[in-house]
Amino acid sequence: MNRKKKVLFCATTLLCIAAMLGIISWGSASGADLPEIKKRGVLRHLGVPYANFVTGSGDGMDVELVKRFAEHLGVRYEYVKTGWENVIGDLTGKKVKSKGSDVTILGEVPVKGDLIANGLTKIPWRQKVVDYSTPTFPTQVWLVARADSTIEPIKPTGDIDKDIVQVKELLKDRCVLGKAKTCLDPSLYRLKETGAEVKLFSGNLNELVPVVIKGEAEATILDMTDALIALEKWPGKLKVIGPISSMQEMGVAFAKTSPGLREAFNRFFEKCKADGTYQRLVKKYYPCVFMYYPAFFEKM
Amino acid sequence: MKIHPFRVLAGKRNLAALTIGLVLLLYIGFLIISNYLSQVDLQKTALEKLRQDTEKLAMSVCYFCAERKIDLKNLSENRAVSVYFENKALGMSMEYGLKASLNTIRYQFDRLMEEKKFGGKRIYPRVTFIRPNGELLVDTGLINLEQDQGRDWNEFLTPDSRDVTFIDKHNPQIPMMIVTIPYFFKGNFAGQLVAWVNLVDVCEHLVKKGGPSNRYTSFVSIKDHLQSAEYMRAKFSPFSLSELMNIEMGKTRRLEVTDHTGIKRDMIVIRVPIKGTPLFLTWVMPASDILGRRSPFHLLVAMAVLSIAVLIGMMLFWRVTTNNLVLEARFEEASKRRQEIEVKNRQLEQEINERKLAEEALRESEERFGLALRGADLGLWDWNVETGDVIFNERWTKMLGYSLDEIEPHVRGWKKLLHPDDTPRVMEVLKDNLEGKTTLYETEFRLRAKEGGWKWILARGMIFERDETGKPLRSVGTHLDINERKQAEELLRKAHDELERRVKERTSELMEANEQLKGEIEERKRAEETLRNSEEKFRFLAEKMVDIVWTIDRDFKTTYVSPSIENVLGFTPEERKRQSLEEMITPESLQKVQEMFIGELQRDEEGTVDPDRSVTIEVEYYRKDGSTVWMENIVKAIRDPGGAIVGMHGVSLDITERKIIEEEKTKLQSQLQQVQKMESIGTLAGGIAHDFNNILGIIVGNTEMAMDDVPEWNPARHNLGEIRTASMRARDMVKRILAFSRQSPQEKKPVRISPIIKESLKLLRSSIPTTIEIHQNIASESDTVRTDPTQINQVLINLCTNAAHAMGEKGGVLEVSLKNIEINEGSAIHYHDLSSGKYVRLTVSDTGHGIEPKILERIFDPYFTTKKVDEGSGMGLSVVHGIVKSHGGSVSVNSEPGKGTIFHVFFPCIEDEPEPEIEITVEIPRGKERILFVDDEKAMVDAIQPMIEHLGYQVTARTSSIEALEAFRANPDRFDLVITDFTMPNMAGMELAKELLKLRSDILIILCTGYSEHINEDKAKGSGIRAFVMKPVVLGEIANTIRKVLDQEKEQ
Repeated sequence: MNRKKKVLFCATTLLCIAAMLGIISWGSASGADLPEIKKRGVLRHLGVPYANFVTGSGDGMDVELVKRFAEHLGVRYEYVKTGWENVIGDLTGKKVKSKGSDVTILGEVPVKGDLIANGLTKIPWRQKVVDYSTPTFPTQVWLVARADSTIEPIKPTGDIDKDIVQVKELLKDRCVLGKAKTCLDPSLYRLKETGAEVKLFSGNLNELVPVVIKGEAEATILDMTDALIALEKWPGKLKVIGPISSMQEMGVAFAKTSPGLREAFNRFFEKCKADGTYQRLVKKYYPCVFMYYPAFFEKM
Repeated sequence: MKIHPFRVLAGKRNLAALTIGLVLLLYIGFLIISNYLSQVDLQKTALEKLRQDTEKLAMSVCYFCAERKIDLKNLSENRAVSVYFENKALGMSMEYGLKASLNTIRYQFDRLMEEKKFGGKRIYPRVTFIRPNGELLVDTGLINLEQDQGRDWNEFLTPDSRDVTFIDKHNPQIPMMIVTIPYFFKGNFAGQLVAWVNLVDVCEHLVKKGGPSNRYTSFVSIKDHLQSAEYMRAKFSPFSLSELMNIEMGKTRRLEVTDHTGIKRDMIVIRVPIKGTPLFLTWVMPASDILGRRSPFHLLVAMAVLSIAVLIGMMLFWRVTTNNLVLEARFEEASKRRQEIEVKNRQLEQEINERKLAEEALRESEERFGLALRGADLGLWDWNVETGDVIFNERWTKMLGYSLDEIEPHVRGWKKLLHPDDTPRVMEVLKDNLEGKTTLYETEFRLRAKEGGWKWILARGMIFERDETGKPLRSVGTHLDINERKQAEELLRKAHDELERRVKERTSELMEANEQLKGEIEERKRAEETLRNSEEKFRFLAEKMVDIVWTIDRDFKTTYVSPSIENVLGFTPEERKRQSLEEMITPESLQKVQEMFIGELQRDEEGTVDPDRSVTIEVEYYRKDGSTVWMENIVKAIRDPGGAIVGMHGVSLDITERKIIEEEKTKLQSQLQQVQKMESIGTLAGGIAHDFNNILGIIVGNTEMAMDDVPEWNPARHNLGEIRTASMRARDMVKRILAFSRQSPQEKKPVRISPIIKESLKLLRSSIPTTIEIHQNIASESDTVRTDPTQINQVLINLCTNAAHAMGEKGGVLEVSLKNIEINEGSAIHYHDLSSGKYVRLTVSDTGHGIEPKILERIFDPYFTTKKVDEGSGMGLSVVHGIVKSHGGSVSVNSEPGKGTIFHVFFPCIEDEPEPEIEITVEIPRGKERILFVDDEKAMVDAIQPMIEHLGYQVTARTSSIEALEAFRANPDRFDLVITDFTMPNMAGMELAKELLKLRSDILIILCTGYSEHINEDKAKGSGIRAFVMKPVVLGEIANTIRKVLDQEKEQ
């Protein structure tokens, strides 16, 4: 009996030690908080080239915003290129798998950055593993089809939910492109349930439209911001059918272990809004967005 | 009644004055009328000019309006507008996407407004797009709040017009011109583009420009719209403004215009239409500025009145003047008479004075004559030849010591005194004179003096008077006492005799001395003969010597130089003596000589050296033809008895040949060093190339694998392709480096050289300054040459680099052309070293400084260069020459200093088809066989192993040949193929192959080799190597080679 107790005691102790080590390792593996960043002297911006948030050419709305933030903190800016597959892991140190709104931690990976800023839409599963800043940009997911597609754009009703229903009704037996693990993941909008033939794209988000134009899919779901850029870039080759989601918000993502950094960013962002810096950046990279979401920007 | 002459004269003058007055009157009348007519013409011209200026101004407004039409036209053709309608046609809704298209249109409108400006002010304050139903689709914003009140936008729609139109709308507050154009989408009216232009701004910037604003007023308004000129209220009263607006178009009117302050002004007004628009231009200016302040008629009357007044005045003046003239004439006559009397009085007084003066002069003359006679100490006589009476003066008698009384005043008295010895001679002289044989005589004779003795007298006389027959009547003359002179002459004669005597004595003495001197001269002649013989011996020696013997003074002036100088330097000794040292030797040698001389002088002064020492110095002399010659001079000082240097003497020996040998020796040493340097560069380049090839292998390998993974449509694939192309170019560059360092095998094969030249020129462009233009004319039809492409590249790069260097920073034109030339037996004479046949001629020309003719023959010599150290090795053209010759071709050069240089390179053409380039096949052959890969560099293994695995093969890799051999030895049948590097430590690739074949004779081996590695293909194949793969390893190449070797084996 004593022996059993001893074994039980040892096992309990070991479990506690393991749990503590796990907590410690979670903490140490996540993105650094403000004091450490200031000590290190470098702010690492995790970015995936996407729309005009991160162009991949060294600029973009979020690149400029984070550069200014680094300057505000008095540290050097460093851009860390990543991909949609790994971006959360590169920030949190955890390899995750999402399914709908659920997320499973698969293991640990090295931490490569301190914040994610590339038009990262707030979606439920992401909010479980990262903390978002105050909303930095509005968006909505639209269904965009090739110009010669037989899918006809909807007549807006003035009610976003009815509009979404109208769009989804058009998708039956249509080939729609999406990208897993992003805000354009068809599962987030239950597209399969509409009877659509959902195709997951392996390339990056900026290649969705070229693929549709090439005829590999009839339609794709796109962030409104990306759709506006596509309309400008390929005039006459695409048409917006209508909304797939209600209005969403984008923000800068921080590891849950970086509350100080997140707070610092929120304060900095408020300052940018107050002195007009932010509005200037939006006008530079998304001049049309003011027409679509005047309410969002009026709040600023 | 007697008519006074003055009255006649006055009457004639009045008539003349009347005539002149009439002529003047007519002339003035003519001038006044001419002036009037010219004034009228000037006014017409001024008005015409004003009309032309106004039309010019209207034209500038017309151009401005035309530009606005173009703006609207461009806007209607803008893609942003059509995209909106396309998206709309696709059924897109405003809420979802279409609004963005509208924003793009708005952006285009904003841009137009922002770009088109008058200075800093916008031309278009507003631009809109109106829908066919009269609603605004896009609007950049109101100009003022009241503007759109009650406005019906349908009025702006002009669907029937396809062009830009101007609508005569206006704004009560701000006069506006509206430019508008209908927009059609797919042939249907889709709306109207409308832009506003502020007329006041048009006025400010176009119409008012240049005019003095205070006096001239010009403005633009819209036809039939008085309100469009409302903005001119600040200048004119409403009534006047209305009058101005009603003036007929194109006419010039003179109006009384009331300004805003109520002052009336006489103004000229012109109103012209602005073509193609509903606008017109009104120009108002003070009439006085155009027509002047007075009318020509007023001027005419004023001038006529003035002329009549002047004529009357002139007539009055003429009458007074005539009376004055009569009075003046009378006064002048009286004055003349008085003057004549005064003149005569003065003549009389003058004659009296002259007579007095003549008498006085006569008296003075007589006095002077008497004084002259006394001064000359002459006695006078006056002989009456007929009577014999003689008058003697007192001096005559006193001369002989007599008084006048003591001498008989007759010729007899004279004869008595005459010396008997002199009488016959004197009588003969007198006789000749009396007979007229002489006009004047002069003779000397003696007369007896009163105290006794004789006195010598010089007598002169002449016949003073003769009768009609010539008989002498009177003779006069003088006596002069010359007794003292005669005595002095006697004394002189005696002294002369004494002198003659003494000369005779002295002459005899001299004769004796002369005899003695003759003896001495004979002796000296003998001594001179001996000296001359000795000198001739030395002279012969100096003249026959090859070397030059010379002496110079302290100023370096030649005092002697042996004739041998003419053979050596071309100068004669006389010419040499006239030359300064600067003319004799080169500046460098001059400095050397001066330094030597100063140094020797110093040493001499210090007294530390032998005064009789000789110094040897090499000096470069000028020849007479301007060339130079090196001579060795052995120099010694010439000293005066006190030991001071007064000059130098020496012997000069021609050492040119010795110098040439020394230079050749130095040059050979330099060439040897250069060769050694090039060898070491070659070795270094080879080493670098080997490593670089390995690096390239890694890049190419990874790139090709990535390309295989990336789908065709992905933009990254294009980027990877670019990396691969750049790497291949780098590989070619390595090949070139190795070719230059002679470490690469130079295999000649049929090649088309046009693409090589074009590619080389592309590469050259980046290394040649942009101030140099490169023109190329590669027009050869048949350009196949058996060559190594690298060598063609090398020829072109060397020639072009030299050309660029010749043009330098100033720049110029580098022209490269390629043409076919056929040389037949007839034309072969024009091409040295070329036999008849077909050639391709590569020409490289530049506009640089050209090449001096004297060095033109040497430019192809190895190591010959005119460039500075570090700018060139002197090998470029030598290499070109070598390459061209090895092709059986020829290279020639034409150059003119200051104009440029042309190189022609001839390569023999061949008919063979060039070998096709190895293309990377899209389908890369794959397999599943087992391969042992050996390379001592881990990085290479890391790059190549996955590349081969990617092809499907099973790869075992080793970084040591020993380990690879051991792995093979353990199980020789485990591998189907071995790929080994050539250069490896401990055991090289060839040795490894040998060992592997010992273990398994049928093992397939591929050798990986770099360009720097010399390997004989026959030898390698003899050793059992099946194939080569050149580094850097390219996926397609290695895939093909592996598959080929494996398949060949299977077929066998």
